[in-house]
Amino acid sequence: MPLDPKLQERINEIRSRFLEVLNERLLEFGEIRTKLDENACSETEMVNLRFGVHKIIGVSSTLGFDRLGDFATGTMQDIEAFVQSENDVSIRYSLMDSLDALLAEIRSISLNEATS
Amino acid sequence: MRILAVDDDEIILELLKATLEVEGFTDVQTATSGQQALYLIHEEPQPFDCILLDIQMPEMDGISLCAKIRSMSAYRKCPILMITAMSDRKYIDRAFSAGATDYVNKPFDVLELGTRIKLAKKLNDERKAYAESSFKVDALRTELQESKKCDLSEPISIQDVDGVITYLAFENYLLQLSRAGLFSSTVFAIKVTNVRSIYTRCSPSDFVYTITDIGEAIALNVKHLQCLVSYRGDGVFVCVCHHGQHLNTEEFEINVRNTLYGMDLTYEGGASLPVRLVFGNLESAGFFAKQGTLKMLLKAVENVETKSVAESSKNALVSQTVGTETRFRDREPNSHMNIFE
Repeated sequence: MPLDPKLQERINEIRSRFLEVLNERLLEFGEIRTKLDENACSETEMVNLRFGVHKIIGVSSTLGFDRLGDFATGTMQDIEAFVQSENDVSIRYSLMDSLDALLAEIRSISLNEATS
Repeated sequence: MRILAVDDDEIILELLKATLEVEGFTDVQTATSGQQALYLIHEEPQPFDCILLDIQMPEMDGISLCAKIRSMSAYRKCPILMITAMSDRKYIDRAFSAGATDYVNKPFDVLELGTRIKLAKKLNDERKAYAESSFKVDALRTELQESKKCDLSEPISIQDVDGVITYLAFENYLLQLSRAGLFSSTVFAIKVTNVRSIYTRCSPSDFVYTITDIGEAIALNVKHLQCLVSYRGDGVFVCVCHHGQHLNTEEFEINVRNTLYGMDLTYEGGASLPVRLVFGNLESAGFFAKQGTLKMLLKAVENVETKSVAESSKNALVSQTVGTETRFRDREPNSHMNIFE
């Protein structure tokens, strides 16, 4: 069922704002990814990562970014597993992989939006 | 309808506002934290008509906030919708136990959200109409007693009992379990077979208190099984348990009866108020996964109603037989006397 044109217009505006937020996340998550690699990620950074990813899950599909939502969900599962494992090496690597995939998807979205 | 939306993500708040405005709900205030929401609630001269809450927020989460809001007298019956990305059962259970009316998963479909908010509006309109009618009849105390008496078949909203939720929330809870694919639940019903007699003899408020006491007795004895209980009307309580397979039904029945016995329920004049209960069979959600959890609920209710009718017929037969025997025994001495006379 097509959306009300007024609502569609508002969603397009919100979508643009979301893309700006995604670019900020790219920097923030990138730093955390580096720290994860060095095994130097603080508890606060993990909490921030969790909240940031949670926000992406909450909104991405509604704004038409289904794939991004899937990557974010995968990352969230790995964050939960990592926190519960209390720094298990293999789970940390798994989290880094899913975070890499999420970051790649954000970059790809940004690129597509910039060129379109 | 005045709505308060609480989420730590401003993008979500914007989306909610846009969706609600298109549906005609233009009076929407937003808060980005639990503290800010509580501040707005305290500052507003008129209570909000509907509240939308995210669960995962820093500092105070949406479930704690929901419980805090629900504890305020002005918000006891206000629709509270959880709008959240948390789809685990533990969050769903905690949200409904804390007083949530409905649960919408993020990412949400804007059309579906509109429908759910309209349902909340309907609930709110009914609540306001009821409050208004109660206010009007307040001036006529005698009429009030009769007018306030709810229909026997209506659900009663039981207040301040842990594990007991409104019937609307109970149905929404089952629907949410179904949507989330969580079918490891057990549903059963309990019927107060002499509810009509209690209803007739009690004042409206005493009837509500009695139903509340019975609800409390049931909830107390299923607390360890992560159960939610609700009163559906017509003397029927419905329960849904996460660990229903661990429910020892015989022990449970005895415990509920003992708890009620300990409560020593009485009518207004002090006469003892007996509560006769029939316990329905346990219905497992697994079998109903495809048909939906509401069918499972209906099946549980049908089952307890059937048992209740059977029980009444049995009791009638027993009392008839006892009556015949009594009459026969009564006649014996007379006959004997007659013989000797």
